[in-house]
Amino acid sequence: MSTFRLRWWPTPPAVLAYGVAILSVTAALALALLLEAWVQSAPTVSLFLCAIMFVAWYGGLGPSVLAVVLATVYFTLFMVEPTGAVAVDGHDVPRIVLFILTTVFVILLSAAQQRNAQELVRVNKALLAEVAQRRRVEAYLDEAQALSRTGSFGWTPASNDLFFSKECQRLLELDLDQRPSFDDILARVHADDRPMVHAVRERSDAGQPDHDYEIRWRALAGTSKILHVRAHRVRLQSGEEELVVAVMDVTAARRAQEALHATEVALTHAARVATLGEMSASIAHEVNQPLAAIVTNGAAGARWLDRQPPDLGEVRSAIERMIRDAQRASEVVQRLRALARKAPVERQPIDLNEVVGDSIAFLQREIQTRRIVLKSELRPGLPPVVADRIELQQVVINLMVNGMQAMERVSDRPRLLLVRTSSETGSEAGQAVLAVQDSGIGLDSASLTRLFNPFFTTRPAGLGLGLSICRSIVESHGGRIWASTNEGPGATFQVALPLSTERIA
Amino acid sequence: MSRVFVVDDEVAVREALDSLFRSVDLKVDLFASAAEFLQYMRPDGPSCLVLDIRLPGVSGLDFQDELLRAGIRIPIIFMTGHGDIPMSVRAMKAGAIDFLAKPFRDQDMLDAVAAALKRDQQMREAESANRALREAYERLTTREREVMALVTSGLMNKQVAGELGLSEITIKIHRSHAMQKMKARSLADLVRMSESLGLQVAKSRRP
Repeated sequence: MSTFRLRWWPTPPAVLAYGVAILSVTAALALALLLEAWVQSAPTVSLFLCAIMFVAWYGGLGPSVLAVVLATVYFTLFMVEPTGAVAVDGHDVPRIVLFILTTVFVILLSAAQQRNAQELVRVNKALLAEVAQRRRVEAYLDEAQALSRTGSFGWTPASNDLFFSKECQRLLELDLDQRPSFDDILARVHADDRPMVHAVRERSDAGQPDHDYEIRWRALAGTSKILHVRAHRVRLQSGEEELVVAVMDVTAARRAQEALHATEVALTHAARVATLGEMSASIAHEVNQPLAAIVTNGAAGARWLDRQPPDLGEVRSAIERMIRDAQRASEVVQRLRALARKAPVERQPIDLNEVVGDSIAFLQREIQTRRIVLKSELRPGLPPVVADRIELQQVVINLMVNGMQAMERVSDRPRLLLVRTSSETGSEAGQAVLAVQDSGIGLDSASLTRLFNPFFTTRPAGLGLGLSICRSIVESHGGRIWASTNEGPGATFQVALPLSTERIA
Repeated sequence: MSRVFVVDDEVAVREALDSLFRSVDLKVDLFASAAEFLQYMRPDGPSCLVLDIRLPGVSGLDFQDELLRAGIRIPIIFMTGHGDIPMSVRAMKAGAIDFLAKPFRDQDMLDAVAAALKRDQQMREAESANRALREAYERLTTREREVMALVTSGLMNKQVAGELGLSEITIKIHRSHAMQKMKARSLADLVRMSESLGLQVAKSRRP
């Protein structure tokens, strides 16, 4: 960068400056005397002014004042009659005064110019410092963007003007020489995500200032990236609207999240199957009962047919019972299959009471065998929650089985299991709460804190995964699960789930 | 009239058994629990109990024990969803007629019920015969009972006379009265009756 160098030397030492002043004025005088001798014409005043200007320019105010004094002395000595004396004639006074005024004017001009020059130098320095600072900031920004894999670009919809940060170019793999337009950018977005981008643009046009969404981006190598996009609409001082957009490459994070989620789903499924395994005797019984009834009804029906005369009324009712029982067996099997199925998680608004009812039906046999007194207090008209039916059922079944297991060794009091649903007001407003209360052995404070940790169990045969899986299911639904000890014997487990804003489809 | 009592908490199974038993002209009473069965006043007559081994509240096996302790002698056929050997052994030892795994063949169930009812019939007949015998015995005089006991233990009239310090003629009279009252046609008949009644042979007072 070039600078406005007004003086390419440093301020000269005073001795030198004054020396130069004396020398310059004396040289001007000498030149004037020489010229007068040879050319009969003496541009003495001009030469003195030149010398004074030079001194002012070179040495500053002090030396130039000296030069003026010296020049005035020389002028009165050599150029004004009588030469060689300080005496001045009356008619020469105006000449001398004019000469002095001229020199003072020259000095003042020069000083003003010096001041301007100095000011210019100062401003220039400040400008350079600011430029350097900006460059550093820019470098930091580039570095930070590269480190955080966050690129940014600005877009002025009115002029369709796009500006990309370095990291953004790298991230989006853009060739800026092609001067990509907004439509070129859009073409690189995964086809399925384009409608979303359009929707965002419409919302932005409608005045929504902030946007936050994720898209899949077509990378050049035929792969795709997942980009987290945050946009903010700003009004520039010029009155133009600009969208400032930050783009983050979250591909690795999303992939890891997906892998984690897949593992969680597999684990949840495994735990469900394990629960089913634990209840296999009970389940087999539940299927076997209707089957036994069907076989016996069939035999009875055949016998009614064989009678003389056949009793068709009895045959009909035997067949009707067979149909009823077969349907029941099939319902049991379907319930089982639903629980054992490895289905993708499907969230929709569902009725929590219905899920609790299904779970109770599923555990009916277990409840009887373990001699549990089951009470359910289901709040009528509970608004739906958004959840995966099977996962939620798994949570309810798990909590109920847990409660029943906690009462295994209880013989001096009723084995009471209370299942309650409610929708909370106050701090839990907007949530449905499920409580499963047992009258079992209860929880000590040490257990309370570790209850939901994986592999924590109080049962010798327990895996210690049930509650930890319950927690991961509940939390993935944006809910909360906690345990507390009862006033009386036993413990209560509670689950709070956000209510859906939609009605059940 | 023969009667079958069915105790099962599963309504589908109860209804199916009800139809099956009625199709072969058996009277059926259905109960959902052991307690319900106990409260029921059973009409007299040959009967049997078809009992599910897994009942709410009390297990079928415990209920069997309970009935035995209460002196209710009724043949039991067990049904089970998943029978295991120790369970069936225990049930059979305690006098169960059969142990059928659900689902069972109708013929197996009907055979078991027929066997149970037959056994109940026999038990009832034996009981009523015994009752008649006991009533006859009650009508004997003390002396006649003494003579009956000694005679049926194998002693000669003379020996009995010696034993009781009576004449042989007197013994003969007591003995014929006793046989008449007991409706015994022969000495052998009287001996069998004595056995049925469980009479203890009086110990010889002489060495």
